[in-house]
Amino acid sequence: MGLITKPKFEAQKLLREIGMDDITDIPMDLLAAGLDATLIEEPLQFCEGRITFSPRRSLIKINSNIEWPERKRFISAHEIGHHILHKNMDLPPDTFSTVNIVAGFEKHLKTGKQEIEANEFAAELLMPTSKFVQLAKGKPFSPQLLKDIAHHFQTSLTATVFKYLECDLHPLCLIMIDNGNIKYFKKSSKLNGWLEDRLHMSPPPESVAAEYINHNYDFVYKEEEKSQLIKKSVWFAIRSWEEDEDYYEYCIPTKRYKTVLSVLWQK
Amino acid sequence: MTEQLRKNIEDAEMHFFMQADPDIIKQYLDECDIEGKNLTKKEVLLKRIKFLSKASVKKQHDSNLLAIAIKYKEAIEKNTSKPLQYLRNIMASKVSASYNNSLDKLSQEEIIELIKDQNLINLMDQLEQNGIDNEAKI
Repeated sequence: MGLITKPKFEAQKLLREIGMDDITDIPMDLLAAGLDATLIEEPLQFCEGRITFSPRRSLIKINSNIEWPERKRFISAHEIGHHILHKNMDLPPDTFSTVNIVAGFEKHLKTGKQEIEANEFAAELLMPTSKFVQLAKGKPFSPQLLKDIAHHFQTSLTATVFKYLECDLHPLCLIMIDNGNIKYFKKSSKLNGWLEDRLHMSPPPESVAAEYINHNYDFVYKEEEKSQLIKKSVWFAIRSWEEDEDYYEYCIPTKRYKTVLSVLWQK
Repeated sequence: MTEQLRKNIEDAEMHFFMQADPDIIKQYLDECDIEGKNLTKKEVLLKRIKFLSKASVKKQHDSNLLAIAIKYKEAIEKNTSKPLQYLRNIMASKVSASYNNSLDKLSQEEIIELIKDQNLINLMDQLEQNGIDNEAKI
């Protein structure tokens, strides 16, 4: 199970304060209003969401052109995270001393980890760990299980599978492939395997991920075919003392962003 | 939060408890198995009701403020002729800050959008302070 970080703690505290196990029944603008933030949707040209603070309130704008309601909910929860965690943030003095004020601001936000914190807050607010474990524990991992959990929390499959990994319910490896190259991977400590050499390279040609890329990110497999049987050696280096094993690979493609999230687990 | 708004929220809570259908409340309490047996669950339920009542009133209030504020186009667009200088001033004041999810690509147009948001929120604050009915002072 993942460590309790400040953003997670704050999300759990908020849920306790408002007397809810999860917020699946509440529209995000109503939740924001109860927290003294005004959340509105309008077309935004440059971003998916943004927040502006004043001493009395926060104004949250969400891009109404976002196609998926799950994504909108995540962005809303992310901005609410900024509202809860960073409203009274004291910016460091060097933020203002730089010649390029914009670059300075950006650097501060990136290195200050506020974006990561807001994401952690959002994940916990939308998918509280205790409720998530209650829903998933004791059930074998499968694409259908992920779909059911995502449906319950109204979250994307991507956000749900990352939460599943964090809850450490079954050993998994998640590999994010962006524009044909492996961008990063994350795996359970219980899953043995070496992937390091593959970073920034294209996925192995025998992998299911490569199949999706070759099909221009269209859905290749449906329903029960989604878990494809592969050999461990397709993705992981097999040491001389190891035997190859059967693994499953399940891919979540995003045609618009040209990404594939590959999920691997032992049979 | 103004005194008036606080009073509105309290009135709305009272209104909710007085107007709610007793059968619906009883059914809900039965489902939660709280009938006095489990005070914690009852407290949780009260917290939820209180929060949702406050949220509903606040949402309506903010929606009214926003509807008035967006009519003041000139006030919303002020300080956008020298966006960088203005952004520097807001940030230096440490009173407020704006966050953007795509800061790597922040352009002059985006900064102008942020300033407009800042003006809008300031206007909402001002309207609230003066009372919505007294918008002529803006």
